Amino acid sequence: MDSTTALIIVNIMNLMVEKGIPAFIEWNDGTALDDPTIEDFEKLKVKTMAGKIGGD
Amino acid sequence: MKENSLKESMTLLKSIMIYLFLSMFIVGVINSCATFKNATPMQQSYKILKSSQVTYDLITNSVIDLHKQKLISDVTYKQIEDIANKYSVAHNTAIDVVKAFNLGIGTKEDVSSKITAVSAVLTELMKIATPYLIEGGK
Repeated sequence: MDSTTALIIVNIMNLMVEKGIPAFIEWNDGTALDDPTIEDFEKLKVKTMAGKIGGD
Repeated sequence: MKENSLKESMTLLKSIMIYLFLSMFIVGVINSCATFKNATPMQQSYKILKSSQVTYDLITNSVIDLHKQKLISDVTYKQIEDIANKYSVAHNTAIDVVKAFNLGIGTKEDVSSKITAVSAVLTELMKIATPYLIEGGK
C-alpha cells in the first residue's frame, strides 16, 4: 500500500470513527439530537484549510 | 504483473471508501429531507450541517495531506482552497443564522436559504476535489 492510499484511508477511518459513524447511528436510532442546542451547533463550525494547517 | 494487480485493487479500494463516505453524506441529507414533516428546522439543520461538516473535513484533510506530499500542485491546491474558503464562510454563516432563528430572530426561510447555499458550495467542492482524492493526487 502506498503512503497516499494509507493517508486517505486513515483520514476516512478517523472521520468515520470520530464523527461519521456515531452521527449516522444517532440519526437512525433516533435517540440523539432530538433537541440540538446552541452549543451543539457551535461545535459544527469548520476551520479554513489555512486554519487547519496553522492550527488556529 | 502482480504489482499492477495490487495497484488496481488499491485504487478500487480507495474509490469504494470515498464513494461509501460520500454515499453516507447523501443518505444523511435524504434522511433529513424524508423526515422533514416530523422534524423541527433545528433538527433538520443540525443533521444536514453535521453531515456537511464531516464531508468538508474529509475532503480538506485529504487535500492538505496530498499537497504536503506534493501529489497536488500549488495551482490545484489554491483552486480547491478558494472553494473550501467559500464553503467555510457559507457553513459558519448558516450556523449563525440557525442560532439566531433559535433565539426568535429571522424566519424559517432564512434558515432554508442558508442551508441550500451550504449544499451548493459543498457540491462544488466535491466536484473539484473528489477526482484528486480518488486518483491520489496528480
